[in-house]
Amino acid sequence: MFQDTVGQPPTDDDAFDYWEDIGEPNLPVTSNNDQQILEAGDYLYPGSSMPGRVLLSPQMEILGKTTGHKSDEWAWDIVREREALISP
Amino acid sequence: MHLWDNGAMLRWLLPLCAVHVLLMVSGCAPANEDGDCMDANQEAEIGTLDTETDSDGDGIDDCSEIEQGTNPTEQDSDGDGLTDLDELDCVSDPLDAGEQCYACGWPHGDPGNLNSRGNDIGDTIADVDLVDQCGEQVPLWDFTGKYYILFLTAAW
Repeated sequence: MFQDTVGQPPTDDDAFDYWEDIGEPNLPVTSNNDQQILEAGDYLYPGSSMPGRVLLSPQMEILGKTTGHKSDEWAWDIVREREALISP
Repeated sequence: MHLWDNGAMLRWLLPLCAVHVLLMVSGCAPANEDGDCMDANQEAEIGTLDTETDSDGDGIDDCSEIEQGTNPTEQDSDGDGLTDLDELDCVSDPLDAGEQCYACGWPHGDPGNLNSRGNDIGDTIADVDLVDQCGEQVPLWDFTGKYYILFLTAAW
């Protein structure tokens, strides 16, 4: 999360509050107080809509990006193709 | 008869040699009461107990501790308040006092020699500082080891 409820950089407490709001999922819900995640994920290009999504490999390599509300099938397609290439 | 008479000497020496040979043939091995990978002499040398496979009682047997580098005579090898077994269970380094179990239960990934190169597809993403829902700071690279989809969003 790169912004709080009023468009400001999030605080430490915002991660917990947002986690509660989205139903306490069993996955990392984090706030990025210095907003470096925007540049790290290149979520600055014109026309991008929320949420921005970045697919990361187990070695933190950026494998794909997209924006907007859609299914995650685009990511699984990349993972399946990559695993087919990596597996012996 | 003088003891050093050759005949008498032979009569004394032969039985002694026979006993010595018997001992060598029987292979008087050092004790290993707990039956682990170390005999009593080896355990005495490093300070573990030959009567216990887990000398420090931390839930990891002595031989496994030696293999992984933790201290088999200390439950908490790095002195950070967590036992070696606790740290192995939560995937935290039991030899690094600065690394402890995350309250939310995330394992500590091992980024190895990662270097961030940019933000394009094919680049290694930067190691951004995050705060999780348990209030702990978690570097992004601590999530190495699995595929992740980063959702970049706002709370509103």
